[in-house]
Amino acid sequence: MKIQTTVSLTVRTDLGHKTILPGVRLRLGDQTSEHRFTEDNEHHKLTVTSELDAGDRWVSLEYMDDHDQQGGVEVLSMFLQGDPIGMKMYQCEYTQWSTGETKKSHTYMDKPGIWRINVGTHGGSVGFV
Amino acid sequence: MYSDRELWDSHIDTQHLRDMALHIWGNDSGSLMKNFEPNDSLLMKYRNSIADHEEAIRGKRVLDLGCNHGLYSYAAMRHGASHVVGVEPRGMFVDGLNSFTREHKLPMEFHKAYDTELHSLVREHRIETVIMMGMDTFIPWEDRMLDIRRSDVEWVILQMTSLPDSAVQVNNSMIGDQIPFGFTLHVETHNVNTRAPINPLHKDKADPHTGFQHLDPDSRPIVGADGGLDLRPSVCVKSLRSRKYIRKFLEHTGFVVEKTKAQSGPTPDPVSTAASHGLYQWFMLRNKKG
Repeated sequence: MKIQTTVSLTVRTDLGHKTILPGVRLRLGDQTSEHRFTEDNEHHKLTVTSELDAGDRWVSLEYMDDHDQQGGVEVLSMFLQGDPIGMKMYQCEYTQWSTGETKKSHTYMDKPGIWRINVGTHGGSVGFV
Repeated sequence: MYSDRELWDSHIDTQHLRDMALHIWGNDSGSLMKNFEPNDSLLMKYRNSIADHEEAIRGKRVLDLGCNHGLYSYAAMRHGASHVVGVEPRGMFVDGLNSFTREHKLPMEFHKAYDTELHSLVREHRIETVIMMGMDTFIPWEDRMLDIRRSDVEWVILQMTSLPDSAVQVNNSMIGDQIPFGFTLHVETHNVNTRAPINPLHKDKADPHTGFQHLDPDSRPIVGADGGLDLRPSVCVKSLRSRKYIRKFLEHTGFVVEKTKAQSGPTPDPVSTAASHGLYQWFMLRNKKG
């Protein structure tokens, strides 16, 4: 059974001592949404809707390229079908591409990489219940 | 005798629900509601909390304590309530539901408040029937029942989590190894569910916009030794009561049990542990004076 699912992430960039404003891509199933930051500390909400099979559903936010002078990206909040998932957002992992290291519960990407969270186990707690 | 689904279809306007969702969850709700169908657990709660209690709802001024997304407040209105007051601490729901209500000019209103204000709300709104669905696990339920007992409210509709009087029927993963029958049981749970931590003790920590409470909005969660989120039992305490305890409490306080029904068996529910374990029990109580 296909379930149409909408995920939104509020993200911000943190240029720090880096020189390039990053671009990020939100992916859910075969659908993506992209954003290129245009100023430091900019907040932006990315939204993507996808038809998914029931069960595990991975949401990922990744840098659009691996240039190492890009600033950091922080995930501030996550919404599933419009409902804030709250603390469950920390059941995530961040893999830095340059080192291959994966850190759990990190919502701040200080270097290019991919941030992932499985929303499958959270899918039932939204909407009319 | 109508089936649960027939009753639902003859009372609930799906387009209304889509509009409610839009007002509450915004455009992101579009995908959620595109192919909305009530599941078995939702139909069970609708049937046993609303549809089967029309004598306590039709023509009455109804207060739905802890109304959440307002679905059952709306259902009470559709089953003949003259006016419905929904009470809920999360502003995201209250604001959305009031906006929906205004748009459709429905006899409902929603208030951002906690259960501790029940005694004044029932007086202010001349409430005749109070609905409490699943509130017993989150609030000092006995205190609220005594508030109602002292008020002019005529009817109370309850959906309770009631532990059966046999340990064998209870999954130990839910409550641990010890089940003190005849008493309430406080269980610490992991405070990572956005719906669960609606705790009056922590209302000052709620997100000012959504009203959702998190462990500590000002700091990051503790990261455990394995690098993962530390899911220690924390501030959210659930109270569970045995059937024997509930029965004795109602007898002691003087409520008259006009109807009661226990869940016939486990019903799959991704949200409710009680429904999944078959632990719901419904009551229609008369607050008889004298």
